[in-house]
Amino acid sequence: MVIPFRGERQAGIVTPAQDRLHFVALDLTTDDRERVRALLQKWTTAAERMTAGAETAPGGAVGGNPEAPPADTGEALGLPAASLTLTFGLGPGFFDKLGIDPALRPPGLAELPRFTLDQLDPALSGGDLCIQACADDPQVAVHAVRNLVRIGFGTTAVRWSQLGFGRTSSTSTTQATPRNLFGFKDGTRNLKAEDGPELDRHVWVQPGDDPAWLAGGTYLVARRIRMHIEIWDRTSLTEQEVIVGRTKGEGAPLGATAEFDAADFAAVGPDGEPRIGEVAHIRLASAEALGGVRILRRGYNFVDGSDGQGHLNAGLFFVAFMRDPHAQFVPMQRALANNDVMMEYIEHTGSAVFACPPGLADGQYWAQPLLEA
Amino acid sequence: MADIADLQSRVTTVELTPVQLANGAKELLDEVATGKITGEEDRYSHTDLWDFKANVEGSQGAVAALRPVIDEKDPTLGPLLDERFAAVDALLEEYREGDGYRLYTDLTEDDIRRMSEAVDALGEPVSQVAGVVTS
Repeated sequence: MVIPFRGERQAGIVTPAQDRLHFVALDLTTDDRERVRALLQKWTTAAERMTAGAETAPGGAVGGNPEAPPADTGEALGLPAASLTLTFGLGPGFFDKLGIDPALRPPGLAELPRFTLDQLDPALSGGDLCIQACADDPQVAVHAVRNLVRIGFGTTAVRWSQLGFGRTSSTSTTQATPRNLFGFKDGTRNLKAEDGPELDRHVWVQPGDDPAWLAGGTYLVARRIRMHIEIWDRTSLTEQEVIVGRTKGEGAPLGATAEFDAADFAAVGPDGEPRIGEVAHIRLASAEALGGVRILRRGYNFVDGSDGQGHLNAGLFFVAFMRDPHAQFVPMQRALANNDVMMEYIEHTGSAVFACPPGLADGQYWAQPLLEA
Repeated sequence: MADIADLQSRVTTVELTPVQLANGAKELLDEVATGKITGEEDRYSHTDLWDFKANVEGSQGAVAALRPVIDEKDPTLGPLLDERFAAVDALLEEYREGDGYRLYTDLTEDDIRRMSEAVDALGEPVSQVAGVVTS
């Protein structure tokens, strides 16, 4: 299946979440705006071709001069497009290094506050640019990132990258809700492609928001969340369900019977206590508890091998899209970091924020509305 | 010494094809990327940056020998190579100490990362030379 690369919005945000992720954050190694513009043009051409299932360049893998290294690395030869989407974002350093007019800098890129229990590793955080590659086939996603990284050498260098093997959110009502590595359905109440006006309110930067070039775009917040799964696995089912606020099997809010039943935060059990605890994850993260705040989550499970101490280096690579990280992600994460019992089982080890420009019209390249604003 | 003199005289008479020269330029940088920057080769002497410099000079020499052909076939590649070789040279100069260079064991992770990035930036255009001279 081919997901259109061009359109009003970038693909890979409200398009149905694929099962595989390769996310890369890059730093600029130059302050030369023309160099960067030339790279963004080359990247756009290669990205558009790859999302259509083609090589980075015609005949790229084996059709060129045999004395030269192939223009395309070749591992996606014979594979379909696999719903590949390549979503592009700009981090704070992009604006700093290129000396871009402060009036054009998205205010949402201001540094996130430090949250309680953050254990952020600078080597897994930040970045001047990001490319989120999602596909049905991990080899297709990795091929895309690898080739874009290669095209960028001399202008960009990889800062960090993350593989994800299973989606933890649905972005369409046509998708079943997947499970995270705690074994729970995740993202039942997520914003979805079908939510039209809610997306304008919570996800897309609107005309009139600052800066004008970002209208129709969004912000991406990435958090690498290490899960201490071995500890979680020693926790009783009842305790797990109380922490989450949902049943593990069906995914129903506690006190309800079906996954998509409304969560009744006012319901009180026979013991006089709230059915869904005051610090249950779903209550703390709910729009009801946060003055109406919602975000669009598009995260992935990961297992990056093991940690040398006999544990799997596993977790959830949280990716969420929103209109204003400081009005949406920050209050939500603050509530979770301060009160969520789940924090005993997780650790935020990486963090980054990027501004994702609107979709590309025919002939446009990534970030053109900014560079030619 | 007699052996070295003999070797020198024979090296100067070896005729290398443009493709061999170009691939030699690339392979010298490959060695830097996989051996010198990782500190693996000089595990005991830690003189990796001396070898790094020698390999870059060798690569640059091979490219210089091909420069007229490169300029004829792709006028944009030569200036890019000049810029990237100069960037690596400038970076190495930051680590010069006396007649030599800082020991590998005295480099920080950030130092090594900068060197790795500079060699990646140089390695891509150098890898294009063989294709350009045979185009």
